[in-house]
Amino acid sequence: MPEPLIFTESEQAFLRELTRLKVDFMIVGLAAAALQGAPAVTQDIDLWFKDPGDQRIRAALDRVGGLYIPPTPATPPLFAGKSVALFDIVLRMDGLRSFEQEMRDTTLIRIGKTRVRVLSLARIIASKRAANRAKDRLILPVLEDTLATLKQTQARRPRRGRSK
Amino acid sequence: MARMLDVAPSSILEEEPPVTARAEALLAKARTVLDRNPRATFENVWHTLVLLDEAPIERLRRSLLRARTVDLH
Repeated sequence: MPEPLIFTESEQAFLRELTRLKVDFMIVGLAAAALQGAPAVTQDIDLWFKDPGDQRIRAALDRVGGLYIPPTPATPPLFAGKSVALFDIVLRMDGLRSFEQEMRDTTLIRIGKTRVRVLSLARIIASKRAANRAKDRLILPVLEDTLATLKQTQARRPRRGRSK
Repeated sequence: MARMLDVAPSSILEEEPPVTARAEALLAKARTVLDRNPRATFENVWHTLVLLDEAPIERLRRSLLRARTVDLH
């Protein structure tokens, strides 16, 4: 049986529109960890926006046929629509500094045709440690082993453009 | 002999399958990581190394796909 299509072109289009419109955002959480090589399972892609009220987010949603559902006292703000169903809006990140400060600890990663800011694995670990929920405690050893592996492999990789 | 038979040398040589060579290289890398990080778990290191061979978008797809599969059961 063929694998179900996931994170298809229509879902990538939202990230592309956000980038094209120069919205300040980064991917955080386990999706960010997975992008960096962590063997972690996640159901959604958490997006942290500098300003969740930024009108350009609505413009990006319009372009891909998505909707913004404002928060209520009982529910967080949500995205609705097939092309944005995988994305969650993150309003608070445990254990992290301000958006601007954390932005310095991001890395640009190519996702399809777009390069997107992704929170560094070290900072994801800091956030999970601070959140300290049962599910965070379970995933922490995996993330820590991934970080150790990354450090090892990056240390062994020769620098580009180094003269002989 | 290959020239005499007018065939490519690779068609008569018993070559090691590339997948085996790749696995051995990954295994060697995993051992190095584990030697320097004795508290790390082999499975985590191994799967990370396998994922690092993939493009980031494929890593993300695998992560989301596994979550979807878990949901089904």
